[in-house]
Amino acid sequence: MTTLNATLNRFRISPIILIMLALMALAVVVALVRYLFGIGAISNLSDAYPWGMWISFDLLCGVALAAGAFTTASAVYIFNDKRFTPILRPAILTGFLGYLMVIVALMVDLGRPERIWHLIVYWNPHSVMFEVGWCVMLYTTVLALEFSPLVFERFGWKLPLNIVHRLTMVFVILGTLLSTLHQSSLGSLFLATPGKVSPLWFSAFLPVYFFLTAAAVGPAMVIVESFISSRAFYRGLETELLGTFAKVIPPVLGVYLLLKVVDLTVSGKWVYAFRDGMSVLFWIEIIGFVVLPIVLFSMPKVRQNGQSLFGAGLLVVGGVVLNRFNVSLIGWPRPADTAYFPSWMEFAITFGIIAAGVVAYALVARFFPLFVEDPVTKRAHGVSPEILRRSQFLVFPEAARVQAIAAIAEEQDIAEDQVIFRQGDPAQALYILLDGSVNLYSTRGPGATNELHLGTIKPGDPFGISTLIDPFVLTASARAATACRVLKIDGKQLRALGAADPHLGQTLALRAAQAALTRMSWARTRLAGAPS
Amino acid sequence: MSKYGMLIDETRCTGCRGCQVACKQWNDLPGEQTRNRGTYTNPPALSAKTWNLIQYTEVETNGRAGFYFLKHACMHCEKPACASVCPVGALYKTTEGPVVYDDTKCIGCRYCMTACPFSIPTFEWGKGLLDQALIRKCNFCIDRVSNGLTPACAKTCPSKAITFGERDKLIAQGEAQIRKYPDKYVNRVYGKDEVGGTSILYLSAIPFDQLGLPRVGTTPVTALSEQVMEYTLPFAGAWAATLAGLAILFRLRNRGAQHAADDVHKEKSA
Amino acid sequence: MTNDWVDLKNADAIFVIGANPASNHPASFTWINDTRERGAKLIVVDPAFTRTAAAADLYAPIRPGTDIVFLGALMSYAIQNKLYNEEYIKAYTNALTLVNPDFKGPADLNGFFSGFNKETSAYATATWQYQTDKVKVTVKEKDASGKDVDVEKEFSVPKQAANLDDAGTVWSQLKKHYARYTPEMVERVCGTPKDQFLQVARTFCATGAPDKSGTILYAMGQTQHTVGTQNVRAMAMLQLILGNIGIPGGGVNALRGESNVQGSTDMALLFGDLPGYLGAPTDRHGDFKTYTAKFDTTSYWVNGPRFATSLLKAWYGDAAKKENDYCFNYLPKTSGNYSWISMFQAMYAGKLKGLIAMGMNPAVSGPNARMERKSLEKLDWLVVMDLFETETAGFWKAPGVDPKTVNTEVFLLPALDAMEKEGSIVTSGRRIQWRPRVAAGPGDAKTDLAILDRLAKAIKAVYAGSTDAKDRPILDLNWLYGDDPEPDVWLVAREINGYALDDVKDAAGATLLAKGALLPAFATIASAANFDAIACGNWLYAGYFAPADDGRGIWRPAARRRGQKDPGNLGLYPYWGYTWPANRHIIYNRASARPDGKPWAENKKLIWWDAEKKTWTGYDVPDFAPTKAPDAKANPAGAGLAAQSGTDAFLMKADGKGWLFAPAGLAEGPFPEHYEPVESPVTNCLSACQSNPVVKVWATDKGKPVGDNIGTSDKFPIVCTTFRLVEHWQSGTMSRTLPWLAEIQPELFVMIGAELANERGIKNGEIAKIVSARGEIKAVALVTPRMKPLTVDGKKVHMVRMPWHYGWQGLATGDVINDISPHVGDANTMIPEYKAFLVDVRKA
Repeated sequence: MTTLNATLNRFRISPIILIMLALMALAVVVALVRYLFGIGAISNLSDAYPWGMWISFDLLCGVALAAGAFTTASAVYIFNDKRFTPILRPAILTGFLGYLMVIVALMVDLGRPERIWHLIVYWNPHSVMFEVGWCVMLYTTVLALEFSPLVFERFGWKLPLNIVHRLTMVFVILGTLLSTLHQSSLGSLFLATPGKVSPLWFSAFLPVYFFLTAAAVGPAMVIVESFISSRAFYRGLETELLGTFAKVIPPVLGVYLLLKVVDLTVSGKWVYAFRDGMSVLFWIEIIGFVVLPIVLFSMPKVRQNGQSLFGAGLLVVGGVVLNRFNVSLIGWPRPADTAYFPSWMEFAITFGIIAAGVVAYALVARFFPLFVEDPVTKRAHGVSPEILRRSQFLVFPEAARVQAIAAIAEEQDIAEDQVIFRQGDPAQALYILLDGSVNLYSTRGPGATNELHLGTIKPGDPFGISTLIDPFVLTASARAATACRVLKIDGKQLRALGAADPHLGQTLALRAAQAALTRMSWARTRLAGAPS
Repeated sequence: MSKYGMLIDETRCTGCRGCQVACKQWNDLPGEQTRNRGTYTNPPALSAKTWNLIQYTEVETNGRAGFYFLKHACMHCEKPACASVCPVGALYKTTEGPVVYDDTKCIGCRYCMTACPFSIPTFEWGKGLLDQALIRKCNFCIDRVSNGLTPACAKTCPSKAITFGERDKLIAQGEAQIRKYPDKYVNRVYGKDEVGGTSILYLSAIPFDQLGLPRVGTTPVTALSEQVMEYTLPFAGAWAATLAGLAILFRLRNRGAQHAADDVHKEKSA
Repeated sequence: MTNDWVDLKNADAIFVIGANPASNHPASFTWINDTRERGAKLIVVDPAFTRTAAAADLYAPIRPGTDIVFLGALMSYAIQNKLYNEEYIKAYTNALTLVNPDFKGPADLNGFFSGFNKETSAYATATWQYQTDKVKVTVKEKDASGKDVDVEKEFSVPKQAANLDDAGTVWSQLKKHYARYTPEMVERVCGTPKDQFLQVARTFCATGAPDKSGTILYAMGQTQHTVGTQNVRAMAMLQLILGNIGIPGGGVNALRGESNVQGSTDMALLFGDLPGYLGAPTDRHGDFKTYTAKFDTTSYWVNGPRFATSLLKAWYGDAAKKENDYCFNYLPKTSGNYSWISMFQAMYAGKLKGLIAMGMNPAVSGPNARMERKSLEKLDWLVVMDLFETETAGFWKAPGVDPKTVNTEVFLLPALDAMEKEGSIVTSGRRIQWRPRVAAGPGDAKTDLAILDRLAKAIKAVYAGSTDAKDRPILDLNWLYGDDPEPDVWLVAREINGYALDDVKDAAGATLLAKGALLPAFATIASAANFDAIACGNWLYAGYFAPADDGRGIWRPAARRRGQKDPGNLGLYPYWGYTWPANRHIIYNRASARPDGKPWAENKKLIWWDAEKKTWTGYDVPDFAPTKAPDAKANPAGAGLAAQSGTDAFLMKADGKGWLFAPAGLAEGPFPEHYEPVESPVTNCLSACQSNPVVKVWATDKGKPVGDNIGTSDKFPIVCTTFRLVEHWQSGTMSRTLPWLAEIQPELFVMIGAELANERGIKNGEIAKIVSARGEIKAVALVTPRMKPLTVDGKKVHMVRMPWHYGWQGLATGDVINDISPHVGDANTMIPEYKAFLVDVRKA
């Protein structure tokens, strides 16, 4: 294991991270204005709209979308299905960060954030908000504990790791209990506003609805988040695993749908489903975001494909977001001459918090053992086929070919200045640079002065192409110019693939030849200008 | 049962806004910067600086104009939603009737504003950390009432539209008034039963919702949420036990499955 | 007010015309609401559906400036339907009196009365007089030797008919005059639908029954017209016909525009008066005798000369002697019209060089205010005493004025508010209440009294030692308010109340009042033999500051009493403050009893004749000679009340009668006749005489952008009427600076009916432009169903309504509405016609 410093060096700032940091900085400035001049100075909230986007999105959606943590944890530990272990840590992290984001958002939205501790001291057991407050506080603590093994592992602290491991079951049960309570309680919040929530959404079952939709959006969010992180971190997408996990969504949403239909029928509220803008929103929510995901997730084809899983998952996520807005903000009776749309500064706060979450996730993913190897399949190699898209060299229209290559590929981190291979050695693997930069050089004798720099490999470029060209001997050396991440594809297996699939082999050979020509032109240029 | 209330006979109200100004005077509330927006109602709505507002309604029926006035302020519910939902108990119902606010507890979550069926509480949107934003609403002049005085609005009302007194007697008085002039009034004292009863009671010549008083039903709006809160602890206990039970169950089942698998292996190898 | 605010609770019908008490006199609704709960009907006739209309049982719209048609038709309705109180009319009014046979009215002369002189635009009133009977009476006189001898003397008394409908009676003239005022005519002229008029007529005229009473409430909606005085007359006549004057719940009640406007009128704020309505001397009054000759000798005004004497004694003290006409010649004499408009005309013409504006804001409140502000520019100096820098104090920085072009030197003296000083205010009900100072004023602000005290002392100091005869009025002026820098307001009260300069004795020589004592009542002046030993600043207020019982045996200055006893439960509250005259709450209350002295009805009992004790008694102080029996005969030879009979209830009138016909005192004629406002959208349907023929219409700078311009309905088809808001105080000087009031009525607006707004493409809340012949202003449009067009003489007439209060200073601001009002006024009082003029409304 490399030292932390080396790891930090390896964490380079990508343009996306830069944008995130900029969003965070903007949010900090806006927050400063809010703390100096009041919520009114930055938001369009008013006495007619005491709760706006921050409550509807940052709090209600935030908590719901963080439900992946408790659903995955209960799948792994309570239902004892260890297949889902690989997605547990990312799910817990997403949940933990999600709750931290909610708390940060509340520190902006609360009128008196400096008194947040009053929740602990002054009790009103009649208040749903009181329960939500306590649950969020406790559950965030539990999530912190559930997350703590990553920290302990990272720094090799055995004793606390052991203690936490032993208590895992307690945490999970406690976490699931607290989640059940407050996910549903967020719905109960609106039991106190019967005349305000639009009748299509108001129901005594609001807590049940909130819980069910949270239980459905948990797996969906895990799918979405896994997909995004697989893209972001060039790691494999556990398509099969996620497909399995997704099976839970149709029954949960089905129960929700059934309950909703029965509820509307019994309370005779169908009339509201055909009269105004709210009716339209209702149908969009039910058809587009409940019925459609049920259908999609019921189809094996959808569950077996990463992208369609992601798409269907997004639908569930979108449905929950729309639902939370519908319940808490849209369609409430307000004075005629008032209106609300969040100000840009409200968005700035929300985006800033999301950006902070992304950055935090990226940091944790880089610094902590977030993605553990699949204990069940024990796949040592194999990456997400998605990662192959990073390089033109490996792009094939046929998914099967891509998957075949992905199966024999692996990701590797290379420290700065590390020599990856040396000229003259047998070419054992083809490399694709994912991140960082690698220098190719030829050696004319011992000593650095005798090294001839041939060229620099950029992300997406292949190197070690000799692996594909007989006699499979390396014609140059490669050294990491910076800390970098590479995709390493075993030469023997790749050649075997090519042999088994002549079209693949031919394509690879042609691409290798093209790349070789480019390298040769580099070499000519260099040699012409080199001191003799 | 609360002790005090106010009976507001909107047929006696002339919309003079004496109460609106008296409220500001007693409670030391500043004037707001306003515009004329084509209506007499001003400021446009209740705010942290305006706790009592006369709302003007022009209703035209059969080509004849009608002009009605609503004194809009906290209703001081018998079962106040604001007090029920406040997570820190900053709002509470006093035995004298007023629903008052302990500004030392409030965390500014504004759930009271959201929950209030009459949308009464307001917030100091323009105050930051240094000047300490708070929830604001009519407090029934608790400082006057607890010293034997009538609230500033009732005291100042020149047309005697506002009567301050014991709630029970006011309801009786209102109902007697309706019996005496059945043609003049809507046959109901608003606030007698609304959301479980309010300390502020209204008599009106036109339907209350036209006047601007919402239809809120007779159950306290927080009845359901309070019930849910009551069930929460028992539910939590039961749910925790269920989860633990499930965990044990699945562990045992998996162990059984593992044993079975092992057995198969053994058989094969044998 | 003939009655009082609280007395409204005794009415069976309340008729509000030209007023909006719900807005502008909110306290009145305490009593209006109470009496409505008893079953009384509230009737509102107004161009707009006001807040009062909102509370009313009956509402009828009316076009501004047509009240006489409405009121005349009500009289006509009462007459034709015999709803009048015949016994009352016969006994207490001049209905039976015979009028000069040469008298002709508008019915005969196409809008004019007999005696009109076209050249002078004025009437000769000879044909308006009563027919008289010559009565011979034997009186005792002293002959040359001082012996009593009987002398037969001839007196002329107004000739009475036996029956109301006899030819030549006031009643028959009245019937004839108002026969033209039919419900159809109301619909045609006022725009009031006939059925709505008839509903009002039925409801209000029902109060002609003896056990019913109806009151009329009016305010500036009646007075601020070129026929304002006649509007008020018409209301008084209607009330006389219905027998509603003098009784509880009756009367003609002016709702005064400010809390103390009654007091300021009593104290002769108006140019034509001296305190106590004695009438200011004019250049025709060469000496005191000529001046005092103007007082009636057959009414209580017989004491007028005594009251005038006590006033002069109050002003000039020992310097005022019988020999020097009590310094009568010190008084300035008017030589023409000194009304508001005339004054500003004079200023505009450069004849008036300086102005002291005390609590007045002409830059906003004057008609054709742009022209009046131009007038201010022509002054050499202007002193403004006010609470804030008013528009008048800052007229030189008005929008569109370049301060460099204004040479007027302006002094702003900070004054104190009513709450910041001690003194009395007089309510509309004539009740004088002494109020303590409850708050300290800011900075150097002083009471008006202190400012005037300094001024007077400074002026006196300038003239001290002068021997010039023309300086005597200043040197001899009594200024007895203390030597401290802060004058003592109790000393002012003492002077107004009256006090004895010497022992006051009656004819028999008995001491009525010891030297230095406070005057208990004006009756003392009337009965004193040496009445010139009394100084009294205002005879009507005599006794208001003298010690009086508050009903609990506690004695204090009458105006400072707060006793809450209410004998008769009529709401008179005689122990609260002091109601002039003589703590009498309902004036002309002799009429509350039948001619025989018994109350009209048990429920309307106020005062009555106690035959055993031979005195008038009851809940109120009788407005009558207290021991004069109902059957007492008039003695034509007697002076004052002796010349009146036991049924002559109107003791301030020369014939003791309520005047249905006014033989004197009014410029336009004995009966109110409808004339259109000077600016009117239609031609007069009643006669060829379009507008009030005796009104003075100025034409200074006519045709110029700023000048006396009059608009016509082809260019300006919409009727504009101004009104007042409860939130603001007159020209807004006191209220537009207060944040609590500024926030509720922050800016000028114009009330526009939905139909008109639609026609002009103006939406609610948008800015509208209001244009008249005088200029153009902008205001927020308040589009409302409470303003509806009226159909007048077959033509649709739209109206707009604008509040009066705004200017460019203070927190609540807006254009000055009076920039577009016309420079014309009532023919008698000169009050400007703020309530009906023509404009056009456009989208800004």
